[in-house]
Amino acid sequence: MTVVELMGTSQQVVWGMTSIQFFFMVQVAAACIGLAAAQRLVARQALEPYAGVGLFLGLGLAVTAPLNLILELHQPLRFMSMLYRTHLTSPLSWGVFILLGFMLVSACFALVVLREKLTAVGPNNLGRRASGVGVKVLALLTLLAAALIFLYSSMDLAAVKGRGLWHSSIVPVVFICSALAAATGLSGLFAMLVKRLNQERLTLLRGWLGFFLTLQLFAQVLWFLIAFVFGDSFGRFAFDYILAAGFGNFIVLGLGGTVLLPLVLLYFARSSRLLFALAALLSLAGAYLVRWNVIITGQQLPRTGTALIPFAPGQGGLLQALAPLALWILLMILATWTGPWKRLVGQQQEG
Amino acid sequence: MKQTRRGFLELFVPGKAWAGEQRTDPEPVHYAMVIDLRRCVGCQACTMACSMENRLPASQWRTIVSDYELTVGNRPRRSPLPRLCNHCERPACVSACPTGATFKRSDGLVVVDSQVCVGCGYCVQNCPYDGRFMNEQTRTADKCTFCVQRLQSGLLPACVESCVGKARVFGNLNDPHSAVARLVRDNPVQVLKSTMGTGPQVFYLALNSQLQNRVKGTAAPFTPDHSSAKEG
Repeated sequence: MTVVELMGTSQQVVWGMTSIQFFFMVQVAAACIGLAAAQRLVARQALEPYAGVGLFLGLGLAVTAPLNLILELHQPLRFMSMLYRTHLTSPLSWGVFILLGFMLVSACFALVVLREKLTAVGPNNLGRRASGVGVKVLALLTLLAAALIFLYSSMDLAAVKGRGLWHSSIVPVVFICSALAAATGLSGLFAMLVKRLNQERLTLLRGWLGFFLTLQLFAQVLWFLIAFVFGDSFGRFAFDYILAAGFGNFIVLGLGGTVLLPLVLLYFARSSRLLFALAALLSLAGAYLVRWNVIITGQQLPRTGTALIPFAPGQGGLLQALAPLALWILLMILATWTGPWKRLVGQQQEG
Repeated sequence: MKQTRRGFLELFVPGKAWAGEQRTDPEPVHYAMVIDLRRCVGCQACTMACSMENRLPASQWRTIVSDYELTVGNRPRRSPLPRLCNHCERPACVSACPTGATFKRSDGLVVVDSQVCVGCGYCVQNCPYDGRFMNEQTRTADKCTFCVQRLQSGLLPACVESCVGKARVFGNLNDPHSAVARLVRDNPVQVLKSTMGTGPQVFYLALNSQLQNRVKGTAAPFTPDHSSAKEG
């Protein structure tokens, strides 16, 4: 039997550019701050590049990411009303409290770390030095909050049964790996920009970026394989689309251009900052692209009819998405211009 | 009333008395709809009646009749399929709503309180039937309510009232004498996407299995263009 759809339903893509921007910013923030907290917790030299730079960048992203949600809801008070109208069966209801808790704990952690550094270099004691155990407990709380951010922001997609591309337990893993790679890329680029990327840091960041990109590669391949082998009809339909019309976005760009190519570049970037910068940029683009592919394409795939639901962000959508990013850049400029950030990110590289 | 020995002994068995009380209670109202596809001609009268009754924005619909051409061998035939909110028994949208704006009433209707809805769109993502949309005017979730405002006045939903083929039948499923209850009881009825576990309360008669889940076929030559509709 052949079926031709003469008239279908008129659905629209509900979560647009600001949603992708939110998922990107909040998850990269969680990765940056989580890695900084992990460094503090385990005190490993290998995580040293994240200690200052990661915390600094992540805090800025964590502050500006919720702006995307406010823009998405169109009225700021609607976001506030989610604080006193709760519904515990919804991941979004939990998410509001997790998001605010994460911002609060991260800010406290950054404050304690900054205060400690200022105290260490100041002429007199600027304040009481926090105890080692206290800082470690705070670092552990920050790490937990970052993990909860990943859990909520990935699971609210994975829990949706009707969307073939979303409803997978591997989607959160792909998001975590890509966010960790993007956080490493961002830390490297920022360190390069403010001349804090010495050879030792370059070697460490190169290693971490390669590691996270390899994890992302495995997670994405596993995602495809599991959907093909064990997927239900929705999942199989979604991956039929990936192999046909979505091949360019998902395989060529999503796997080749933003995961494999940076890995190749990193292999040759032993001492080349340019190649490292290129790989870092591609990893950032890859983290954005994987969210675009999952969130937007996931909504475009029809659930009832046969036609792909069209999506065009338009000028308004692009401006809405750029505004929080621009605010984050402005915050970074202001903080590096006026604040005591140099104490946080370490000494300037030589030469 | 004549006192019997059995009746006297039953006074000392609380469980028995409770069960007897339950039996005599009238069943609460449970609204449902049956759509007899043999009677549907795909005229979209229900679509327009709903749009006018509920004053929906242009090119946004609470119900629509999808239209398919099914060909077996060399014999094509048209098969209309009215779609609307299924007012599920276990609605995915209700558990997904972060503020509790979407809820299921005791009479079976799934409704949205637009004063409480924050417009996050998560219910739209969770509905597997595409029964919801974001209203462009209110920026909140919108869906079929079985015309709750008409039900309160003792009227039928607008789509049922306007259906030229009498394909849509609406009523109380718990009333064994209602047309809906009789149709469900006496006929093999189908629901859309039964594997989703949501328990839809919109039942179809003569639903082709090809249309029961996501329709696998070629895309429609006509797709509503939202941008041109808005400009117009």
